[in-house]
Amino acid sequence: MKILRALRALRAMRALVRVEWRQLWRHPGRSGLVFLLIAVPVAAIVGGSSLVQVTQPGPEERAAQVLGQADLRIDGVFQWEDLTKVRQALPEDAHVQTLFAGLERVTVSGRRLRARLIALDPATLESTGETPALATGMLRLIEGRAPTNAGEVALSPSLLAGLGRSLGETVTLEYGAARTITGIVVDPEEMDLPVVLRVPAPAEHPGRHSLLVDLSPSDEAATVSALRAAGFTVHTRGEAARGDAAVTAAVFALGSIGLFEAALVISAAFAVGLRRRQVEIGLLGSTGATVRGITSSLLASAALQAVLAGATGTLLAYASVAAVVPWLNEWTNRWSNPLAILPVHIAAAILLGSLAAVLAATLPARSAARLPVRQALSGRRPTTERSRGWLVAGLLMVTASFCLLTLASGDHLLAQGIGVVLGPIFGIIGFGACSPWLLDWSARRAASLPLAWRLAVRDAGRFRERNGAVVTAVLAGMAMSVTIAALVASLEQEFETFPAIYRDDQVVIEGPGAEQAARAIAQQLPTLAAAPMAAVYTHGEPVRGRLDGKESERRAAWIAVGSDELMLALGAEQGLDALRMGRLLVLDAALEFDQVELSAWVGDHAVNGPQAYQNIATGHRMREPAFVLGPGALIALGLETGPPPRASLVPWLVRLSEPVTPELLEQARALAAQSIRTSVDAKLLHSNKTRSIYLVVLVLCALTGILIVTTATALSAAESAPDERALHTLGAAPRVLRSHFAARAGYLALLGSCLAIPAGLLAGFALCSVVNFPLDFVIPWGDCLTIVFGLPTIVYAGAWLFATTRRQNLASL
Amino acid sequence: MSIPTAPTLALVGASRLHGEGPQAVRALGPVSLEIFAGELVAIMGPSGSGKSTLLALAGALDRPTEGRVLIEGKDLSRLSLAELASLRRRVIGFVFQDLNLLPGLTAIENVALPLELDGCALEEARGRALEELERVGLRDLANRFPDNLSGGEQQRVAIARAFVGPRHLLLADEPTGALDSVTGESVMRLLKSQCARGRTVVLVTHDAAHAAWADRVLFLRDGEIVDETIAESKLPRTVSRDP
Repeated sequence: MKILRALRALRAMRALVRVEWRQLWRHPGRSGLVFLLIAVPVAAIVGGSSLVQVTQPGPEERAAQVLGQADLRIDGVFQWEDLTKVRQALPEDAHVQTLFAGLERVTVSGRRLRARLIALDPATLESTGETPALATGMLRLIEGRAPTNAGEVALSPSLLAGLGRSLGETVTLEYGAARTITGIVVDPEEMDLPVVLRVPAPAEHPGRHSLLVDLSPSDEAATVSALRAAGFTVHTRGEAARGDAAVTAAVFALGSIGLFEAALVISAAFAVGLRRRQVEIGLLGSTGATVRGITSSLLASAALQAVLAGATGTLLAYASVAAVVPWLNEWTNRWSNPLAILPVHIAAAILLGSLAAVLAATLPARSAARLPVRQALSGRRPTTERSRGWLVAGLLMVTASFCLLTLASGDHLLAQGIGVVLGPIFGIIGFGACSPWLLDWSARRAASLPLAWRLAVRDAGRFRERNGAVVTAVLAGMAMSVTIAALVASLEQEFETFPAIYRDDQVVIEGPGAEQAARAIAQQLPTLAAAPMAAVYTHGEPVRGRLDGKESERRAAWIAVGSDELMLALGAEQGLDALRMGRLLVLDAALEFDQVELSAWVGDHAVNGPQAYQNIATGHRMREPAFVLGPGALIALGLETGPPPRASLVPWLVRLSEPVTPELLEQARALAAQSIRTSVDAKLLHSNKTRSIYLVVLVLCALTGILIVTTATALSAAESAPDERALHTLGAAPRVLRSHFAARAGYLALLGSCLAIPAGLLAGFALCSVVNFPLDFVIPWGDCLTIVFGLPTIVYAGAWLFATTRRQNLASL
Repeated sequence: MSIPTAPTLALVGASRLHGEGPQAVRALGPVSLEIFAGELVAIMGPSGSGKSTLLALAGALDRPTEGRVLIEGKDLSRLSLAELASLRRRVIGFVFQDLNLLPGLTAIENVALPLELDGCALEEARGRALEELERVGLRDLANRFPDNLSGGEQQRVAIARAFVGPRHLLLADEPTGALDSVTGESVMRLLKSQCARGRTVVLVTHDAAHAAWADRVLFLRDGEIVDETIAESKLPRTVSRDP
């Protein structure tokens, strides 16, 4: 009996699904829109995850990079005795191959380059028979063969290009005679890294030893424990293979956001479609279809569309990724993995797409199916119930969002994660849920608006549930740009407190011709001072200072050797007297200090320092130099001079009499270019990239918003046609008709943008709470105003222009 | 002597109000009537007289505010939504003035739809649908879509669907309203022929010529039955006293 009932229900369902399937083909435009809205995000998810799979090292690649095919890699074998200890800790049947790694200098006439050295027996890299080649995967031989004796070497392509050599020619390594280049090798994870591969020398330095070990799984744990207890660094395959799935997770997260936006527009598209099919749905009801049957068939149609769209999106994604695979090595600088079809990712993406479509169709389907048959048959627009329920639901969700955001500002990591993810989501959905009520509320108060806007606001209120979905989609998109704007504003305020790299009016010249270039700049450009910026040394190491008081600075900074010119160039001329008196000057100290702790990496030698210190406030807190010591004090303390850390030669600092402009910078560069390998640096070249990122996000979000509103306006155009026809026949001026059309689009964009402000600021606040350094939340008022007025203005203007082409068709109504 | 049978359709003091309190509008009633199997009953009246409301109550598309509607003795107010839907699949068929057919289904699929919705196997449903199409003379057009059928042909398909399977009560709301007079007459002939097979037809019409096909004509005004005429053929025969 139950089976019979189920069979009958299935047959009834089949009849209804057939009706829906035929509908898809009768309205190809609307069906195509829904198709695209699913296919594109699914393609993005599948394509993105495939790109990650191809371009990112997987577990095997991560393991091979560290230890080839071995089970263990043992580092820290610094002395010959260590080798004995290691072999004692290994099981007897363990197979060991030695790997030597370090740095090598490669020379040809007139050129010498440094490269990473790998020295190993050829059998370690490529298996010759029974013994496994444990280093397989650490390097990839792309041409020729591996070196087999001391007269041969293999180099990487970047090294060959730098030396101007090719296969078969010779180079000289740091020690020994010329070697013939027999092969070209690359590090598969960093293809432009200069690499030298040779066979090991008879007495390779012990510090370069690493051992690759192959042993049975049962021995691994005990062996690793013993080796680590003995002080060796041991890498296991399991540990090396571990990676994080954050990138793939991020791809799915971004794709899901896209699907969420798409689902809101799909919901509007379904609502419009079902409204137009209202009589047909009434016919189904009059023929005996049940409410559940109609609802199920509508949802089944949505799911079917989504699966087809998802499958299409998947095919598109793989085709696109396959098309770019030939260039990926070059773009990513690593040996790309072969493109693999990942069923789990495909299934997940299609499932997400189907879920989005079904959820999007649920409300419109239920509303359409539950309409009384008689009312549906009449074709009249159903009366919409008051939207207070939406307002209550929305306010509850916004309240929940606030509660979740308080979790984000707590200390517990899991609570922070939940708060920062769910808080903004609840906020966006909550504000979106309030939009039907806002549309209704506005519609009831539109009497005093100009005609075009009055009609537009009332139209939007009549179809408030469908338009609520559109407003939510706009709000979700623009909220992202508000969030980024808030984050950028907060970061920029924080960056203001960081020391600048240089003053606005400073230029730093580095290279062999620094002095010549600095003097030329001082002669030809308006200059206040030019001076070398040498550092204080002791026993061949730079001396560093660290402020010590109630709080201490975390990092130690090098000390500049002061001169009158340097003090002027630094803008610290008020410290000249103190400098001449032998005091150590502290430039723009960030905290109160009692003394300056001096240190240098010189083993047991103490660092002498002056007894007196003086804080000099230049008004421009810069990163370097943080301290200055006069030449007199230098000599008295037995200290030396040298180039600042990370520089090979002493740079020159030039202070111009005006801020550095792009034109002045170009002139300085031209003067510096007259000396070989001499470069110019200025604050202008270190701009903050955060605002550029925000602008990109803003443009993308605005484009999304424009697309959504345009789609929604086009979908509902048929419903406003009677109004437009009536206006036309009553003699409304063309600009009234255009205004009406443009106002319908602009109003939805305005409401979405306004709601995006609080939603986006909530998310921004959450993000500022979870960063791992103190960040004050700043409201970006200017950006908020730009968003509130910018998007609606653009949408209104675009719709106004588009409305001229629509007017031609009114005569046919 | 014929044994009186239960009416196919009965309204007992049924009325329909829209709204509440002093602003309530009485669309129909109270109305009482009985319609028996094999009858063709026409309902006439001016606009707003309650004709469509009466049809909606009779077809379980609406519920009376007061009174009862009985179909084959079953009180519709006691049936659930699912049972009402079942009634529309198995007992009641509708024909409207226009937009009767689902545009995405062929003629045979439209006719078979109530059977399929009732869980009938596809082949059986199509077979019975074809029989009904044959009865209305449209077997050859079974595989055409409604867009490719004339108005009259569409109404015939709608009539075939209204009577497919066990359905035997047809409620028609101005089925000839959008047709020319010749086509309208042919539709009325078809409906009459269905009644001859024991089926019941209740139709709303403005056209007196079409109402003349009916066995009974009910006149509505302001929601009440103000008059009823019976076709001469239906009058009981009287014995003549003339020698």
